[in-house]
Amino acid sequence: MSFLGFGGAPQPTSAQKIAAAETELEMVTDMFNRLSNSCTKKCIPTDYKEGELNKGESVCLDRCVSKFFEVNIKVA
Amino acid sequence: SLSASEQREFQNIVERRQMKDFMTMYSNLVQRCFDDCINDFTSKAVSTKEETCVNRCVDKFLKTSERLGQRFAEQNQAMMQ
Repeated sequence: MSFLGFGGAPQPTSAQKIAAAETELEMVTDMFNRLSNSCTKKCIPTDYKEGELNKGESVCLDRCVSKFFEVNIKVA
Repeated sequence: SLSASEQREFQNIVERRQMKDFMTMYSNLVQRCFDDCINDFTSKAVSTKEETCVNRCVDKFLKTSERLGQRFAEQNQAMMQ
């Protein structure tokens, strides 16, 4: 906001707005990929005794996502 | 904050990314299940045991991705509020 009558900063162009949205999408996607890698490593044993997720693995994944977000916020 | 035509353009970008991410996920899946399940090189054919392992690995991985996706969306929503 400018009180001097100059009208403030120039409006972002269409291309800039889309680029900003794309950057945000990239960040969110990156975060999801890292979270997926980490939580899979921490929660899913590699002997594949069965194809279903058992209760323990499911709960572990849920908690892992929750903690990942919390750490993300704390670090930020 | 994006106009209708900007949204359409962004949608194209989103779709292209999703396709790329899907291909990446597929490659990771193959690598993970190969690394974890294929360890017997006394034969060049995949054994029954190995095949079972791979099938379970794929199932498990896809279900894991689905669950992580759901939880991630929920947490993301909660964080935005």
